[in-house]
This record gives sequence, C-alpha cells and structure tokens, in this order.
Amino acid sequence: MLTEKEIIDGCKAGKSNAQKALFLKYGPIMLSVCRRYARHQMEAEDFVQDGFIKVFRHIDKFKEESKLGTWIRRIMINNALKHVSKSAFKRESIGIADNYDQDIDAGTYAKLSAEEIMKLVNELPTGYKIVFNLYAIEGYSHKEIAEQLEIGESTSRSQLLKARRMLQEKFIELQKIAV
Amino acid sequence: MKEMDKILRSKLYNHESALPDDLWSKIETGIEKKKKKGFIWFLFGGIGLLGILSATIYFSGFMDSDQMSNVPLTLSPVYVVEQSIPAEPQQVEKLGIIDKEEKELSIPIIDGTKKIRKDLVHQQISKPSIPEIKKVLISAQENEQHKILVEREENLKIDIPKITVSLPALINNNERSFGDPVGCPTFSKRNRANLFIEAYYQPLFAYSQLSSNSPEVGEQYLKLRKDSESNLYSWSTGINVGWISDYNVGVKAGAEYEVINERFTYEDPAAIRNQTVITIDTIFNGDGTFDLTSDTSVVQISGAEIQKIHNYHRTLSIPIHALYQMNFNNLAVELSGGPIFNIYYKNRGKIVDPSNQAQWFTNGESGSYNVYKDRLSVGFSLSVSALYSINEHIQLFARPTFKYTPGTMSVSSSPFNQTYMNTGLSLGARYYFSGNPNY
Repeated sequence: MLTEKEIIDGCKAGKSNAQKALFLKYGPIMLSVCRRYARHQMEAEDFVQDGFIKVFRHIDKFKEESKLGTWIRRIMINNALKHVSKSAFKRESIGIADNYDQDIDAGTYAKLSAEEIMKLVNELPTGYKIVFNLYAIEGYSHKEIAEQLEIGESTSRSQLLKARRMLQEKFIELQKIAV
Repeated sequence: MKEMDKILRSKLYNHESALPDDLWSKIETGIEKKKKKGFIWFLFGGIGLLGILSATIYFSGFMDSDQMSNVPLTLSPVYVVEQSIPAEPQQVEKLGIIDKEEKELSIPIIDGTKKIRKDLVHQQISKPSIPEIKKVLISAQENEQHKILVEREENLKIDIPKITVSLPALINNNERSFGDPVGCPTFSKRNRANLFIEAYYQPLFAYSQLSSNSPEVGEQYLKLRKDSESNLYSWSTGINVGWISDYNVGVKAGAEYEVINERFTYEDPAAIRNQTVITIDTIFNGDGTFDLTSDTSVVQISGAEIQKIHNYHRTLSIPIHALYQMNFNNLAVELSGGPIFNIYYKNRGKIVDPSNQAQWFTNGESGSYNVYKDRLSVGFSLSVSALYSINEHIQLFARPTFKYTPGTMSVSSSPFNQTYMNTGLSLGARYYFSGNPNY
C-alpha cells in the first residue's frame, strides 16, 4: 500500500503502479463528482478518463502544500465544465423570494440517500444543476462561478435560486409520495 | 436554505461511485496515446528544424560573392595568403605547412596580415577589389611562377590571434564559387539542373485514429471499433516526375496508389443462419410400388457466429512535393514534403455501428452504412530519402515516409471521425534524363 507521498512521487516519475494507485484512491469520488456535471453515466466516465489523463500529465505542477484530492477535484470540475454549453445559462431576472425552504423539514433531506439526492439534482436543467453543484456542494462563491462559466454573478444567483426552488418542489413531491 | 445546503453537501461531497472495470485501461490507453502524439510532434519538429537548419547553412554559404565582398569576417587564423612575384622563386618561402599541402588559390582572401614575417611577403593584397584579384589571377595563370600560395602556419595562431578576412569571391561565368566554411561536400554544387523520373513501392503501417462525432457515441464504442479492426499488410506504389535545380532544391509530382487493408473480426452472439432442408419420403403402395415425395423447407439456425471480413481503403492521389538534396559523392540525402491531393477513393468492408451491429460500409452499394466520404481531404507527407548512385543515370533509394490526412474521412452525419496516419519505407529507383549529377 503506497502512501500519498509515494503515490505523488511515483506519478511524477511516470510509474504506472503509482498512477493506478492514485486512480483507485480518488477515482470513486471523482466519478461521483463528474456524474453531477455530466448528462449521463457514459459522459461522466469520459470526464473521469480525460480528467485523470490531465492529472497525470500535469502532476509536476501539483504543489504539495495543497491537498491532492482538492487539486484533482478542481481538474475534474474544470474539465467537465468545458463541455457545458453556455446556452445552459440563459440570463434570468432575479427577485425570486428566498422563502422556499419554509415548508420542508430539514430531516426530510437527511432521510434521503446520496444516490436519491444525486438523482434529483441530476434531473435539474443543466444550468441550474451546474450552479447548484458549484455553489452548494463544492463551495464556490458566485464570483468564482461567474468567472469559471463566463456568466454574470446575477445569472449565477438566479440559477441557484431556481435550482433550489425546483429541488424543493421535488422533495415535496417525494414527501407526499412517502406519506 | 443553509440547512438544506449543509445536508446535501455532507451527503454528496465525498460520495463515491463504483468504478467501471475498464475505466483504468482506457486511461492507460489515453496516457500512451498522449505519449505517442508527443513523439510524433517531436519527430515533425526535428525534421522541420533539420530542414530549416540545412537551408539556412546552405543559403548563407551560397550568397552572391559580390554581395559579401564588403562583409568583414573575423576568423581564427587558418589561411594566410602570400603572393610571390616570381622572378626569384626562392623568395617564396614556406612558412610551415601543417597539412603538407600546397594549393593554388582560386579565391584570394587576405586582410590584416601585418604580422606575417614581412621579409617573406613580397606583395600583399589588402582589401583587394574584384578586378584587381582577377588581374592577379590572370597574370598568375600566364606565368607558372606566379602563384598564390595558401599556407597554414600553426605559429600564426600565436602571432595573429585574429585575422579579419573579407571574401571577395570571383564571379566566373563558367563556375560559381561560394564560401564553404567547413569544406563539407553536402553543399557542393551540382553539375547541372536535371529532370528525373522515379518509381517506388512502399510497405506501410496505417494507424487509424477514431474519435466521437456524436454525444451518443462514447469511448466504449470507439474501443469496440478498435478491438474489432486489426491491421493487415498495407502498401502503396507511385511514380513521380521531378526537377532538381543546380541549387539542390527542386519539386516533384506524380501519382500514388495506396491500399490500406484491415481485418474486421466480430462475434455476433445472436446470428441466424438460414439452411435449406430437402426431405425425401418414400411411400410404399399396396400394390408393391412406391412413390417418392420431396419437401423443401428453410430452417433458421441460431447461434454465435464469428465474422472475419477483409476491409480495404484504396486511394489514388497526386503528391506535389518540394525537395532539397544534400550530396555526399555517390550518396545523397533528400528531404521532401508537401501536400497530397486525393482524386479517387474506394472502400469495402464492415464495421460495427453504435448499436453494436456489424454493418457493410462499402461506398456506392445500396443499403450500405453511409459513413465514409467519396473523396478524401488534403493530406501531407514528409520523407527523408537516402539515395545511392549506381551509374550515370540511376539512383536507388530508400525513403522513410510519414503521411497524415488531418481531415476526417467520415461524413458529417457519421457518429465517428476517422483519420489515418501512415508510416512506411519506400524503396525505388530514380532516373536522371541528363545524367546523374552525383555520379
């Protein structure tokens, strides 16, 4: 079992066993990340494949003061976002009341499994889904999202609000079905 | 809101999905491809750099001498020119020739030879003009005792750390001279410009590159294509007519016929084969006679079937190439490259489609899978030839060649893009109509 340092050094030296170890360690999380940005499973696998090839090509640029997992995650997300069409982010006016959370008990979310939540998130329109993932899951700011996607910050906020409202509706539907 | 984000984040941020079994092998393949691509660009770059370097050295040495006459060069002290004006031959004294070689000089070059022992130098040409040099040489030819000697004096390296030399080379109607600082035969002038014709045969390796042209087509389909298609012996043959100038650069054009052969192997797990069954019955009658009755039926047999199909892609193209030749006595090295224009393309065979069904793709046949174009786009070829002169007209050559057609050979509605990258070794002969200039 290789340590993370050995994996990094081995990858920098182009050793196949270190590359595979890195893939096995971070591949499952990265596939899950890519699934949230891809349209379907096959595309997510393609993103992971391209992403890891980039990771191995640019591993020399990795500075060890940062976390390897975070660095790889960033590459995966950037790679996935390259395939997102800008038309997915049509500018919409903001001003939607931020009151959509009042009817749902937080416990409802907690009861859902990760796969169920992922399924609901993936059902969102592309623009909503991307912004929601970047903001709510990855922790990007609206400014970072705007720069990354080359859209306005207001568009990012708008997409997030609509994503949340749509997710909330989906949760309510689920709640009704469960009752 | 914040609560919802927190909960969702805690569930999704570190969520893991099961990895498909073949994902790592795809990544490994991708890494190898990148390495190969890097190597190819390195090869291209190397050949290009070599060409540029050769051309630069060649043309820098081949500048018109008159244009160089006012260009001072600072060289290490190798040549010292001394002219003796005869009557008293003993006055011409050797300064100690390193290579024991004494040469008549066709290009007087001298300037700044002040530190040569003056008692040995009877006349120096300092910053000579071309008419002066011609005059000196003509008089030298008329009188055998008038010689210009080039002597290499090692001691001069101590006496004269630097000699500034100008190169006012002679312009002669019959012979062009140019500076050849290293004395390399590569840059020697050809005897004359020449027309030639050449023919060759080339075994080649054709590497097929596939990429997706549709969101529905992923790596899995591309892998299936690659797994089901394998290389067979491929080849090309061609003929070129060319012209090479006395500057060793030239051009050639001709026709090239290329055949890329592949084996398509596919296992159809649900194949159905129709088999005709003829049943003959004998009916015995009460009177002791009998009748024969026959019945023909078609029976469908299902099972796995392995298909092996010979696929081919045949092209006829016109290459138009620039070339540059470097001569080494009977040997020559030639760099050539340029576009290739396809004028005919014919194919036949089977491939799998995105639904994993084997389909005939033969161009022009009704019902075939229409995925390939009728004509290919412009390709590019680069080659390095080694030529050997066997007599006054003929050279034999071996020529490693690299060819790439960047445009896809598949139609825009095809779910995939396909290109070929060929490497091969051409073997052939070249005939010079006016005589082999290197022989």
